[in-house]
Amino acid sequence: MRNAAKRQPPIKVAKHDGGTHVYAEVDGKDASRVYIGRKQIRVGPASEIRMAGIGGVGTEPAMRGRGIARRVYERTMREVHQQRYSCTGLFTGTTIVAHRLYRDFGYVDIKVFAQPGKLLDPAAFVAKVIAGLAKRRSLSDWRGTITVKLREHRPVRLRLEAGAVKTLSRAPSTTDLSITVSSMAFAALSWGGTTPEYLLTTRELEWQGSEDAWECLRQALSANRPCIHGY
Amino acid sequence: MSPPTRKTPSPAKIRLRSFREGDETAVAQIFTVYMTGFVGPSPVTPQSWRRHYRRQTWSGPSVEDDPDCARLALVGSKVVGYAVTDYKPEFEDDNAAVQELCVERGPNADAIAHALLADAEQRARTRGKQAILLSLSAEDAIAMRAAQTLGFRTSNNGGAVFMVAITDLPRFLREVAPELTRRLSASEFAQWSGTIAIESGQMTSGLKLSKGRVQVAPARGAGIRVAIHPEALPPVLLGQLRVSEAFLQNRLAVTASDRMQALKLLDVLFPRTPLYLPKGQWW
Repeated sequence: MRNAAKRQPPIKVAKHDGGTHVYAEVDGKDASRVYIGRKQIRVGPASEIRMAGIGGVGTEPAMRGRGIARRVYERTMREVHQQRYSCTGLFTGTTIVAHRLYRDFGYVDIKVFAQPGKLLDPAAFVAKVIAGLAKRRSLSDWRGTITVKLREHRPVRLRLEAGAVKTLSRAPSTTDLSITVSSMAFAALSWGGTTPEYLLTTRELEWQGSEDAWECLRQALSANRPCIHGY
Repeated sequence: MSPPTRKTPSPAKIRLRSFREGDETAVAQIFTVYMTGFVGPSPVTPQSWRRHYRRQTWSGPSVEDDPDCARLALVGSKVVGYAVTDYKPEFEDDNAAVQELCVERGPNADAIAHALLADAEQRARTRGKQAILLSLSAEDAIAMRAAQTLGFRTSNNGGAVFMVAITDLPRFLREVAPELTRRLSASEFAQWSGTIAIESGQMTSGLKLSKGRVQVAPARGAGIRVAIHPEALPPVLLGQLRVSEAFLQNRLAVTASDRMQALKLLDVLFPRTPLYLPKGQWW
């Protein structure tokens, strides 16, 4: 235990660009970091509050799972207090692990953003996304047809064969898998802003057809790294 | 059909053009007026707006390198609205993101917003973008109406979330005291005098109300005592949850001789307020 504690890197604080960097240093490089920037937030026409805006949060993959990020954040919260901020705010994603860390430090969800958007060429977008997924391990050996029905647009029919994707102009005699989803949910899924499980639970996504085919596609979609999408 | 009672410019008279040096004065003014009432936006000056959009960054495009990213709507020679669209948002090169859309309020506001948004979409198509996204407030009804008529869709995709922790309650209340005074003095409680104790987790503070003024004061001897669950404190203080709603949800308890009046007073001090954190200011 004592050895483990000894291996913990030192947490350092540096003032930079009008803000504060809090970081854990390993071999001269920052292994985990947080940036505190001063934000002026208007609360009605007569008041502004000084908020510690948190950004640039990250931990090097090799350094994860060692409690370093938590220690950096403990130091960050001390800094927020020392710099006499009355509050602190940040953007994160509800699907990423840091969301739980922030809750442990007293952060509360204020607003979940549902970002409006529009696909400019839905068929091309679907084809490009599926082509990207087809190269992933779970789909790379799969052969069959997939129909993607974006709720507001015409169905897009695709044939997958050994990692290659072809758009079909006509409906095939059989479809192995058909998924129905709204266009922006599909877009969010494609860039890791949400997960197939979340969309299935909210009934935003439905699928029909072969269970094996769905499992291959689900695994390919789940391999997206979660991201904080939106603003 | 009766003749129109007020002469307003028709949508056909709205002219769009790209940003030019010197436009920042009109843009900053429109931003400031349009954002009044929202919780979140920082005040903007012509200089700060111009400085922010000098070069392409994580938080926005460059009006110097790409003046088309800021488009202005004019009626005659008067600037009546503008939109800023990032055609190279970080990590999403395939998309375009509209990050500011502000118009002069009035009967023509919807038409101006529609024209600006349709223009941004057309430019995104021309530039070969796959999707256009709105980094705007979902509580901005003018922008949302324009988006709806243009076929934008919203998905509750479990994506980005804004989180806040209150770290020093007395300090927070001191910062918002001028706004609490403004709210109180415009209400039926303007003459109310007394002290309100607010307690949440380990934090306690008092608000003294006297002659229409609100000041932070010790909590002892308060006539109204409010205990807020820590999960409800930031949403209440930032206008995202009404006090009476939190009360109904058992996330807030009030002790007072007349509890219903106390809840009314607290709703006056902490009303529900729309939130907008402009991407260009936050990131």
